[in-house]
Amino acid sequence: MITVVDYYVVASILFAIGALGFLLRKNVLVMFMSVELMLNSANLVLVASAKSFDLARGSAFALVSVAVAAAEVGVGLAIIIALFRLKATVDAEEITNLRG
Amino acid sequence: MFQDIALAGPILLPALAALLLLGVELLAGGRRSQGSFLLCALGALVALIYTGYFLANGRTGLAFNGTLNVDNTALLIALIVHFSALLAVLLSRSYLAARRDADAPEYYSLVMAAASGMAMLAAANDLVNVFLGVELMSIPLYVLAAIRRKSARSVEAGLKYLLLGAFASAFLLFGMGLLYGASGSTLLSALPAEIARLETNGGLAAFGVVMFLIGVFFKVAAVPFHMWTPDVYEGSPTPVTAFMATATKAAAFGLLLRFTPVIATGMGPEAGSSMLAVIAVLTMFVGNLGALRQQNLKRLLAYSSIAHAGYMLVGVAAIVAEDGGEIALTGSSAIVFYLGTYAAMNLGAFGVAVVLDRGEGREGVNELKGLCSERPLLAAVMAVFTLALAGVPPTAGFLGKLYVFSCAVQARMYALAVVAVLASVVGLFYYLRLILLMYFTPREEGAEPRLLRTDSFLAVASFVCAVLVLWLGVLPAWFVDFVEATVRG
Amino acid sequence: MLMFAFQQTSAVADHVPLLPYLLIVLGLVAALLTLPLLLGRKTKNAVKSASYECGVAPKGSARQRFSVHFYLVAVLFILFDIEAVFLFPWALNIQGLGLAGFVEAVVFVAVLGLGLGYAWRKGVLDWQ
Repeated sequence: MITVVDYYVVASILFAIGALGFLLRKNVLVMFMSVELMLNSANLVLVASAKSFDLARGSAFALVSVAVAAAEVGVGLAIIIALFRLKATVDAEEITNLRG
Repeated sequence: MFQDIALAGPILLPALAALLLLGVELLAGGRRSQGSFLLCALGALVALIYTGYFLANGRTGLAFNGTLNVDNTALLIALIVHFSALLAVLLSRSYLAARRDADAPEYYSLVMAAASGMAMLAAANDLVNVFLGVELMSIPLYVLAAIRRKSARSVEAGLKYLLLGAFASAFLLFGMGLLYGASGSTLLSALPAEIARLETNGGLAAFGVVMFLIGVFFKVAAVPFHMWTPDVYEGSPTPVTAFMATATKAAAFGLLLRFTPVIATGMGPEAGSSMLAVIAVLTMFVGNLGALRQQNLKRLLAYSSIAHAGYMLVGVAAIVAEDGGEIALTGSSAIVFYLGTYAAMNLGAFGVAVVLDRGEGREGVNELKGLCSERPLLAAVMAVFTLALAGVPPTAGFLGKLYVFSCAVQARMYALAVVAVLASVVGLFYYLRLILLMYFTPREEGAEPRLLRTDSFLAVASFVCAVLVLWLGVLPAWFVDFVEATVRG
Repeated sequence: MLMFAFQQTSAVADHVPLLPYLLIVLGLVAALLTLPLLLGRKTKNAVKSASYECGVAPKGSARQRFSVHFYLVAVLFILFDIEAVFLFPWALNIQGLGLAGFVEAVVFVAVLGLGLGYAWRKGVLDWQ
């Protein structure tokens, strides 16, 4: 029997995979993809909760967050392209102009 | 319907200005930087006056089925946000004119969009609106940080801000999902009661609160989620840094104040306030100790802004400890007072940084050496802001700290109050170093001549900030009464 | 309280008749792929490994850089594609939402239109 808690567990695992990917990977694009995975695990929590309460609000929230994530992707890709044009790299280790 | 739209004015007016700026660029095309500057300044001014009018006339209430709660605190925060936006725009003109590598209409449009998101964040009473507000605030700021497309430092700042900001947003959204799962409601004001009603699901609410707070801590640059701050503040265009440092903090603390009942129910007042107190102490010390060794003025101000977030978190910890009652009101008004004064002094300090700017990576504190003998007025103004940031009487900075720390005493968190005072003593060192450089250190032999970049708008902005900082410090009664009275409603 | 199952046992039962079909399909594909391997004659020469009748012979590495134009169009596509999601719930409830809902949808589309116009003006859509 699949309960809402199982969805929370799956979402937490996805979130952890995303967070680890963000912290361990060095390619900026992959880091960005990891963040998207984290956002989508949050969407899973929202949709599963909405289903368990039989309320549409959580699903609507997930739709909003998908749209917002798309905007974030747009801006993110644009900034990564701008960086690539300047430095010809997407390796986070090589992006070190700012140090203190 | 129209009532709702009128109440949402502080949010909608900057958004309208942002769209208008884009529309003008669409129709007129080319680089109409002067026109877009004036249009943007006008938009920020109208939003400021509108918010002030609503505040003065007590026009508050719920809007859009209770998803926006435009109360006095929200209006005060929106006032601070629009004030910051206006002053940051005034600082921008000479900065952009000296660079010419950023597109002015887009720049101003994005500033207005971010201001709209911040005002929304302050008034949001629904998790959906909180998320929309956070993102409407953050996404334009990512672009603004990277707006100098040909500058590797600016783009790097934008990228770092984007990656860590998106990382934080994921925590925030995950926390919201769990809170929704623990309560079945997205209304912030309904969350505590619903969480208490559905007590059965144990740690879900506490987990949600922690994830939510991690997201907010990233946005206010609290330790250990502050790593991005110095890099982003250094690499971003200076007026954008000023706007980020003041308005983002105001909006995020507005959210945090509205969220305190949820922290107290979700984690329990004890655990919640202990966690906040630990974060506050870490933030104050890491910020102040980090600032001690900075040679770059913008990095120094970045660490200083981390420390100031720590001071304000002391107030939030006190509010959560008591969970409701008198302290919620005094604490809120203390933090709002702090945010207002912090906005004035920080914008002023960044204004001076814009004037002294020599270009990328050369915003050194050495530029301040001997400023007193060459430009006594500029040095005096900078001294006022520095002393205010340090919290020396009779400036507004001292009173802000006094009010916030006395909240900790009121909540019987004596150790926290003592540690906070000690941390501000550490802070004195690097602020006083700036004063020493300006007044008692002669300029090096053979140093490059100063490049003082200023215009009348910048001068007016700095002057307004200096007057506000001194006025609120010497004659604070009216402002304190005003804030207290309005927060109490 | 929260621990109730989503109703999906019946959904699984509904699909049981599909199982033989699935097995037959998989078996057929497997047979058609393995039999030629066992029975067929194997000859290798340049003509046989060339592209058959249609298609162009591959040239150079696949890891080439694309024009930034593709990214711009892709980003725009993501944005406008996802925003359309909001119009579907509105279209389903158009009767109930009435004039206010209609005005809101018009404002929403107008803002998107402004964005599209801006992208157009900036030359993103000029495919040169």
